Amino acid sequence: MNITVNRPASRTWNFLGVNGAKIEWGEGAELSETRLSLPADKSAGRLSAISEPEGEYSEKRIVLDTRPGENITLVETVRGDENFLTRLEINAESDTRVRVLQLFMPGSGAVLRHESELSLGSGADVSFITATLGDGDIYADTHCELMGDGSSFSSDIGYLCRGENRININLTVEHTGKNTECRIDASGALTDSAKKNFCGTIDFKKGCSGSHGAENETVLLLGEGAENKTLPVILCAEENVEGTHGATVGELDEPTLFYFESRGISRDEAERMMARAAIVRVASLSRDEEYADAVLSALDTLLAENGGGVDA
Amino acid sequence: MEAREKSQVEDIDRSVYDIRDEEHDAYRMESGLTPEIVDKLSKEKGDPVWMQQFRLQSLQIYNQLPVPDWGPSLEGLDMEHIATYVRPNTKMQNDWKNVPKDIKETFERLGIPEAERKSLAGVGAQYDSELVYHNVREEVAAEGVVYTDMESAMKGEYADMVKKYFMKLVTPRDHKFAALHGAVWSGGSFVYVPKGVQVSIPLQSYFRLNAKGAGQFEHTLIIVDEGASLHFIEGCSAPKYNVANLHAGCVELYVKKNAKLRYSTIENWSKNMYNLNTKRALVEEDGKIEWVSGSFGSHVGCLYPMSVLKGDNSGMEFTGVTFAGAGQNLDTGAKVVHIGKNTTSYMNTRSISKSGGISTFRSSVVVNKGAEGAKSSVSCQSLMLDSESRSDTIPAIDIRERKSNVGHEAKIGSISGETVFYLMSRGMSEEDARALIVSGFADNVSKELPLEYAVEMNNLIRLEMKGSIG
Repeated sequence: MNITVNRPASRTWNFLGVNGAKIEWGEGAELSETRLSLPADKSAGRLSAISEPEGEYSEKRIVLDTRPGENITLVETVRGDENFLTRLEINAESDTRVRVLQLFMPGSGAVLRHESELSLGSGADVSFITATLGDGDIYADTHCELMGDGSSFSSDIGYLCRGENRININLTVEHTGKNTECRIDASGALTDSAKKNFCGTIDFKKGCSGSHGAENETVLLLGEGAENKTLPVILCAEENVEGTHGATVGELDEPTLFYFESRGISRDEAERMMARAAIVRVASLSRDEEYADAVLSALDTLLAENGGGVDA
Repeated sequence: MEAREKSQVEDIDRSVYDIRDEEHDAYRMESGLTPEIVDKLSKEKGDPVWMQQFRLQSLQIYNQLPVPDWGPSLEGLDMEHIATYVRPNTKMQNDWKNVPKDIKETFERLGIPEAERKSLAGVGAQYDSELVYHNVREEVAAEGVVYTDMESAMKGEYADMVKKYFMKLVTPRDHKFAALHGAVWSGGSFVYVPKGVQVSIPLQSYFRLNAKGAGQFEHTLIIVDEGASLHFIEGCSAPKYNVANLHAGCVELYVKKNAKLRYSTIENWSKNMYNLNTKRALVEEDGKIEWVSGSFGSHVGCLYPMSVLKGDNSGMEFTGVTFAGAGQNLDTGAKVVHIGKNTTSYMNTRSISKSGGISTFRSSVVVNKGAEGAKSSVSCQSLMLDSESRSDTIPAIDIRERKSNVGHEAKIGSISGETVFYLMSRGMSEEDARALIVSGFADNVSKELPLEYAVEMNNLIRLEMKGSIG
């Protein structure tokens, strides 16, 4: 059956094709829910979740339970060769620090759907670091509500999309509490005939005075058939806030190319380096050696399968 | 954060626009929208056969198309209660002396005859559904510039040209209210600027909708031929009633090779108006379109001038300001499609919302495959003056050509206290500092407007400085 996923918080012209993505999806087995939490005697620690499909259109739900003041790193790896849906729920209690390090790797021909639902209490901070690789399609839909005063959310996304694959990211952050902060930073490269939709919505609700939201996207177009759609949205019902967004889409600019060429690096090589850079960036941001190794290893494997480089 | 006393931003002084003339219509179509009404309208206007058929086909399309499922609600608009044609009790004149007294006085209050005397090459003044005045300076006409009303152009020596271009750029299938326009259009202007002619003084059309519960559906068709240039100004207003009025005009602009057209609009409809105007420009090789847009009126406005950059090296600039006050929901912005090589587009908008007004900036930048070298930059800034209002930005970018560069930036907020502090540390009073910041916020737009409209806009943003904003 056809379903519509990744609906943005605000609709716009239908001809643009950004009011949600229509995909084919079927019924599958719903897997058991997995609840993760730190041991009772610890207030800081690292958790890990690997999600793989068990049959076509299977679903998995991960719930992260937190207690006030905890400091948690959750490494979430989602991979598989079949169409698969994972849901992640985090209810971040007051003053918790949660870092979610994500690695999405759909196999060739697979469609991976990932839905996140986040709710933050006062003073809580949740950050997502996401590397999107693989040879399939990815539909990621994240909804974050900054309910508590002083709560904050950040999302750093790096992607490399190749072939005829699709990446569709819909990220909505609702500022409800006062003095809340969000930062969204997405960058990546599209090669061959890859297609990417990114919709990032910062939604300042009435009453969230003192809040700040910033969103930025940088897209490098490397393929002749690559297509990019970007919809950076700010919705604002509160006077005393500040929201900014910026987007840059295109090929490497001339000054950057000149810089590389003046150091003996050809255009093709420069484009390969910059395409890798988006993924390398999120790996280094993680400050988690195991996660970074996994991301870089996945990137190298992907590029090796493609004959050693990113086709320009 | 402690509460601070707020500066007041005055609403626009609407008194001159709200004066109503008693209705002495020569003819008023019954309200509603049926094939019989459209047919009657066509007969009233003495349409040629092709236009009569066009109207009826457009009505069919209107009935097929849905109301858009995005944007402001149009629930308060009921076509059953809109009279689509109201003819004033006068024929079109080319001398203000011959225009009926009440209509002439209305336009005099609005400053149109004076502007014509001082600084315009020609004026078209529309009252309800028909033009009541049209004139062009002799020296401009002598250069071959054609500036006439649409009906005359359609039936006279320019009939073939009108038929060739009419609703080919904005077709009835574009959206529901374009189809409505195709069915019931009346009035508007036809302009043709011959090759190489530079019209150094602007032409202006002014639209006044006096009738209660009526619609205005003027059609503007401008062709600027190769190497020519023109500045066209459009203004509009209406008195306020407690029932809905509708404006669904259409503007089609053809900018030929190496030509330049600046299209300035100051929209100041009353706050019962649904303004669903459609504007589109097709720009050929080395041509340029400049849009300057000030939106201050209407209850609900949906306004997105669109530019199709078909020719290589063609360009578009859009500069806009929107002010949404109490009871207003103004959804404005621009669209551009890059088709030719080395095309450029630049959008620079400002919006202010206060007293519960809703202001939405909506844009679309599309770069087609093959539009190598396309460059686009969009900048929108929004200022909210209280928490009763709303300000949204919904810009979309769709890029299908790797050899292109597109950038976008936007900012929403209130006035920064740090900026005020910085200016005060340089010796400025707090009041002066805040005045400077707010004036500067819209200055890059107001300076693009014709002088009298810039003055009007500066009146708007002149503040009573009693403290800080935000």
